[in-house]
Amino acid sequence: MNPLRKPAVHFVALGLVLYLAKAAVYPLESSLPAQTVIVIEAARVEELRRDWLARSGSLPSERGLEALVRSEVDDRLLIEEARRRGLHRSDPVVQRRLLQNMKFLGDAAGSSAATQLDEAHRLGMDRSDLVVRRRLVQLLQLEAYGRARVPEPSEAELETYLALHSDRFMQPARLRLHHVYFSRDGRGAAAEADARAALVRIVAKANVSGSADDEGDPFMFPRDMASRSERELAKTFGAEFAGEVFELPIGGWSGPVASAYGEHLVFVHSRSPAALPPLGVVRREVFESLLAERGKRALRETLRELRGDYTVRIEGRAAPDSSIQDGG
Amino acid sequence: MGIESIRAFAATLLPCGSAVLGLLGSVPTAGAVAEEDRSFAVTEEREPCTDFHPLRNAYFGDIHSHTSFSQDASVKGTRNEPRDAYRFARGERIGIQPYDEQDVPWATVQLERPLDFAAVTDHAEMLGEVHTCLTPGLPGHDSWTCRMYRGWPTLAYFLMNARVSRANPIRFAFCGALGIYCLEAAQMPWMEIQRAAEAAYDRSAACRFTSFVGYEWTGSRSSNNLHRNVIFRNERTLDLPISFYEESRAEGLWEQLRAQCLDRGDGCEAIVIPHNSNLSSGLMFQAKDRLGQGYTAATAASRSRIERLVEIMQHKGDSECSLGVDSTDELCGFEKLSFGSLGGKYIPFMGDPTAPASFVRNALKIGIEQHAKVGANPFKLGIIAGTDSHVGTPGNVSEDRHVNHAGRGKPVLAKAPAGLQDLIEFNPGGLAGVWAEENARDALFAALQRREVFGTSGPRIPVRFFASWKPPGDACRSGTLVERGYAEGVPMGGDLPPRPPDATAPSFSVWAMRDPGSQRRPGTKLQRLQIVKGWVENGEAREVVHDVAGSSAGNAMVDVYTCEQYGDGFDDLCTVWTDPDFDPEQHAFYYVRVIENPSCRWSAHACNRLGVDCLDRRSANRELFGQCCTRDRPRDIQERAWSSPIWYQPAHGAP
Repeated sequence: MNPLRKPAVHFVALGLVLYLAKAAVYPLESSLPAQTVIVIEAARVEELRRDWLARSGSLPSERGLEALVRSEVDDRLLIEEARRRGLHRSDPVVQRRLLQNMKFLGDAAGSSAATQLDEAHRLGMDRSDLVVRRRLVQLLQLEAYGRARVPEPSEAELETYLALHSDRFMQPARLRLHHVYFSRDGRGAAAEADARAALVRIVAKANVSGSADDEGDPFMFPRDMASRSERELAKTFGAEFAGEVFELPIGGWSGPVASAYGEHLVFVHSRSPAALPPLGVVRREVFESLLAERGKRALRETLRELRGDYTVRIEGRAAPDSSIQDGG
Repeated sequence: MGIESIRAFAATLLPCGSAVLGLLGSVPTAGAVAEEDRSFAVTEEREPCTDFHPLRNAYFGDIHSHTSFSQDASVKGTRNEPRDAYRFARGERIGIQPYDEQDVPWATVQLERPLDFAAVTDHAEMLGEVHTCLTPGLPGHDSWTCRMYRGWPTLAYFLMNARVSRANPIRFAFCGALGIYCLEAAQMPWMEIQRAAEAAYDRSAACRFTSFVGYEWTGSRSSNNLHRNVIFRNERTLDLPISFYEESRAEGLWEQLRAQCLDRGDGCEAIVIPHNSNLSSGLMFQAKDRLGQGYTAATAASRSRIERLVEIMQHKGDSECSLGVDSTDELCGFEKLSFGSLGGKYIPFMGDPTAPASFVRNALKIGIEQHAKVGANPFKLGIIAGTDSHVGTPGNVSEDRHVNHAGRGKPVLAKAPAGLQDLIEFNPGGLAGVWAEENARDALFAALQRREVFGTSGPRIPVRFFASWKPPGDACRSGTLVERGYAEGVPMGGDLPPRPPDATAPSFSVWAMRDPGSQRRPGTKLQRLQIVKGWVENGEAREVVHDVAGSSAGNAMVDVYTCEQYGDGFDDLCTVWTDPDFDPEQHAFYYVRVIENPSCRWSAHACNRLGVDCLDRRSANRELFGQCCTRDRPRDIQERAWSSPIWYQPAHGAP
């Protein structure tokens, strides 16, 4: 079948036209009147203080209270901006919440969803409901993250990010080892002496990994551990063992080394050093991590701009501008 | 015109073409591992892991946690986002609320041992909905997007699919051209969740961490909890989570997951994991659907195809079994809640904490009953555990560092300032254990699907469990238990094959090691291994618990004031066991429970830190003293692990 069948082409084209027409007929929500003054009432400041007391058990310091107020201002800026864009009316989660509230109030039964929503707005529910407020803040935060995805990062940016965060992306050093286990459960205090005696026998035979096959006790995980990092070894044997085996000589039997479960004789075959992987291998992780960082910056930028657009008045306190700095 | 041709057509028409093609036909990287060694299909692009082990490694993780994207977490002050939760799971230090000056959090938390894998499972209800499109009369209902969604779901589906972009730069151009698809507000949280998972997923050969995309379907019925987590295999997921609002019945959730994911044909796969059946008043595992219809062979099989696992224990209590509720097993008295539904916490007598079908062990029995009745088992469940953290801290299960899961909720602290951080009945939650060849999405997901998984109440106890018709003899002493287990039998989560004519009874081999512990704290010694058997006899559900290794009359104890542990225990317990009452005509399940020596419960650690002395009433304020010194809640616990069951089914139908 020819994939370029005309109806579908027409459909998309028509859709595009409809979309553009919609944009032309319904002007963007930005023409809604904005509340350009944000007031943090004295009562709200007091509430923040008490809230902190309830949560942490002590009153906030002066600087602490300032930070609480600043955080409140940030939220209010994002909420007002979200409202200016009409999200308090158009977002489905907000709608759902308001309808739920109306249903709970119980006096809206019978009227249409749209009427109930109007009533909810008239009651100021969209301003007072905590879930609606959190949702509006979240939407603007996510919008900032989304904006930060354009333009997409260049190769050079990705390379730089990888180099700057080498500690996170570094591939750990690895050991290939063979071990023989002497159980503390089974042998008690003799485990260590038994291991030493076995070491003498093994080395007398030949100092190769295979010469220990008939020694020791069963262990749930393999005797032959191909390429394990310290963290992986710690998961199986405990942290102490994992640290110690990285110090052992290569190419011969050594030990005993104590694990969480007993004593082990260990033959280290090889050790590969830690290395930073090429970008190609960790590209997606680097790409998304870089964009996440950009997103946080974009959010701070948004807040800075909004502070310019709105007048913030904090009742009963000095003008905030000197104390409200960019944090985060 | 089929969906494939629509995709092909669109691929040529739109600039996002190559992105879509990439989505449909990702070419697996051929690794160093031969295809035949793998028990799983590779469905994504990544390097094969250096820790690949054909006899499988034990991985520990948590696939149940919430962040500020869940409304119940957000309104309690949680600020951690999905990205922060994944950073925490990978071992980074993060803050938890409340935050103070310059956004410095009240406390910071860090895992002593990072997790191997995790999923953030925020409630779908704040992740955006297609609700506007489906409800006439709401603003937006008549928009072009909605008209297309209703009229041309397939094409709309394709466009959305293309839009849910993950790190594929070409698709941003597409967003630019028809920006509405990328910027529509309702979509953003779900996209962010997927991007956060991608940012945390180690696709290099080091395989340090695996993230899964997931969410929670928050279904309930008169406050009875029917919640389920949905976990996706790879980056091919839903356009939008199917929430309780779209599908209020679990049956609808499964149906829609099938339609919108499993049957889509592009490699989208998902499993559904119910949790907190202890708060369902028996509704979670009742033998009929929401409309009162009994199971048929088809509906039972269809449920067990998608609901492969159950979360047996978490922050809000244990759901394995309950002493006195069709059980005389004393060890069931572990992290039990006194209420039986979500609302029962606040409203007395709401919900039934003693409904048999609230507990997993009983559900497994009901499954066998149903099999006898209709010919298929709807409750063929593997077992995991999780935290259900609501502060963005997956896997934060340590008893001595428990910092509560739902935020320092005002009501709690209003009662006891600087007191217990959590309600006394709650607990830090558990972990999911997985036996898989390597730490990557495909390998782990395949293990979840075949139920080769186990749950723990927190400690990282590796436990092996196999059943076979061939007695493995001294497999424990010769150390061949695992090799023979796979070669001659089936691992946990499986079905015994039909009984060969020369075999009388199956052999079960069990091997567990204690948690090796962290640098700061050694793991607790093991006390014993148990095998729990359930079956149906003369129409009556039956169970028996066998101690199969270790010591039930151990001398181990813990001083609940110092939390010091005394007495003997085991590093390593291994045994081969044969059921003395095996009846070849009886359909039965067997699962393992590993029991640790006693240790301090989180509340004992906390009360000791606060200097509460239960012999001295003046050592604390009244509320705190009451919480710490109540006789209703023990101060010590025996942490544990539960394997998934192995089922035996007679050859000729049910008894």
